[in-house]
Amino acid sequence: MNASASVLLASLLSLALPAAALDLNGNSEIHGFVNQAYLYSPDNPYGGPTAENGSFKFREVGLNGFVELTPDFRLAGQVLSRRHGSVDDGDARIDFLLADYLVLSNESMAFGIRAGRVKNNIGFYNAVRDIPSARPGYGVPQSVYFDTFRDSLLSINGVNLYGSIFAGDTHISWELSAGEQSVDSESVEYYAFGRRIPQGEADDVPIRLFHIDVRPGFQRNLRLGLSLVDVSIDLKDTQSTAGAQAALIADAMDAGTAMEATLAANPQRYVTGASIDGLFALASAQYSFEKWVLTAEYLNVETDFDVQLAGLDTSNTNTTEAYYLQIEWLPTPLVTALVRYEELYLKRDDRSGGESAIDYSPYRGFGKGWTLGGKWMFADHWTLIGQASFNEGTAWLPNYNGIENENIEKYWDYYVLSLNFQF
Amino acid sequence: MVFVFAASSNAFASPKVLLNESVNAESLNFAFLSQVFAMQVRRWPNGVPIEVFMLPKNSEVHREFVLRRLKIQPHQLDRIWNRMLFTGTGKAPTVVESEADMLEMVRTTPGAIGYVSVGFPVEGVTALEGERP
Repeated sequence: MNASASVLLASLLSLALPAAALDLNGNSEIHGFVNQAYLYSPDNPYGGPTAENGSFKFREVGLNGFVELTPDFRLAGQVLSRRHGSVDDGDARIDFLLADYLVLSNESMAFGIRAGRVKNNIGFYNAVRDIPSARPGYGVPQSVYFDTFRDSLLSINGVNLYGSIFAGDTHISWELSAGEQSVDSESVEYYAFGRRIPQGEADDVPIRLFHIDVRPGFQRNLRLGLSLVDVSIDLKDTQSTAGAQAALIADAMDAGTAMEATLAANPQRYVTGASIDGLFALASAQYSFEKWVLTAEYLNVETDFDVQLAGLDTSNTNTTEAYYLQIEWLPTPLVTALVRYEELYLKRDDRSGGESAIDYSPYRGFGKGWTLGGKWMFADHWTLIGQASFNEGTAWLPNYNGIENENIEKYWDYYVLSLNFQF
Repeated sequence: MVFVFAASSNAFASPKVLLNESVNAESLNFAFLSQVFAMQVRRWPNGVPIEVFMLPKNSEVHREFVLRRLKIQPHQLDRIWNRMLFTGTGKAPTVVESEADMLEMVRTTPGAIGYVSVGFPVEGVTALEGERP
């Protein structure tokens, strides 16, 4: 664990020891969690090579607080550290830090505004994907919430308008967000090329989001949601056209192949510019019936790719598609069990993933999988979480620096056991 | 045995909603009530800020209240509160340990709302009973 995460953990534990949740003076509270997992992924390197023999390098720590200055004005913030194999190093980061002003609230509607770093409500789980107690099982459904855009879509630095409307017994809540977020260009490069490119960084990108959630009066146990997100990513500081062309000529001579073939074999080596426009649409439905919760979500991502390879412009459009179905069973207030089936296709019309196949990872174009999960709150504040996932295709196998040196299997399972403390 | 069961189920029949006397309300519809307990509505129609109190999550009165008066499953509320807390968008109600504490807090806190089992004697607050089973 690095220094900042250790400090965070130590301060969190010192806060946690004297009391359960800290209620500072009625108008402010501090909460937090520590989640330590053991992950065993015998077939493929899940988040790094160590998981193949079982790894404890999966740890999440969070600490948050809020203060209500008036009944309508509040400040809230959260610091998170996430160690996720070789994917995330555990550096502490600000998850959200916002001011929230409730402009209007009465029996028929409410309206407010938040500014600062605000979490993005996309589907049921995007805003809580780093909160172990709020996830179904150990992790969020990996099909719909696949890792490529996770950092880009977690939150925005900007403005969030929110409101709700009561129409009879029907309750509608909505959000509009606009702002910027820094982009993890490496994960976008893996999504686009299956590898990193030699040079190139993404600037902060503009993000706009609309989210609506409806609880119909005729069926109060039903929730329907729709999220739309628009994001534009530009890669800056890529290599020069002259440099890329020189590299292409040299590589073609070394390999004794034509330049076209060399370019087609490893396009990521000659990228001289790239931009991606993405439109995410996520439809959500959840039905709660006594001890059962049924959840389904469907994701459609339309991307427009403009890529310049050694100075030559190419462009294409692509549709990524994913869905899952999940059944949760809550036999007692302290126990939850779930089963989930999900699918992800990087290119919707290429179900076998052949077009996305690359040498080290022939099955990255699709993913299908079953997940079994359980949670047991065995004492106040303490939860034991278990999950087993059985997968075909590796579209949601997390990418990390070095995965291109591994042999990636088509059929792969992984198993997680984690202990969560939350106050 | 039958006798005991009948008595206890009566005790837990539709807990009654308690309101501080600063709140002017003669009845509250369950959809509005459920949004109050989901911490989605923050002011009463007369403008007084709402202060929500609850009994511990594992108490039978809490579960009966959520099921019968709010007409949703208790875990749905738990998830809403947890989500708000860890996304910076809200907080959970204040937990009181007993029905006596509940009555005291609702009686003395302007804008307060809470609940107790139907047989619990109350005074100095507005009590709204649910429909009789």
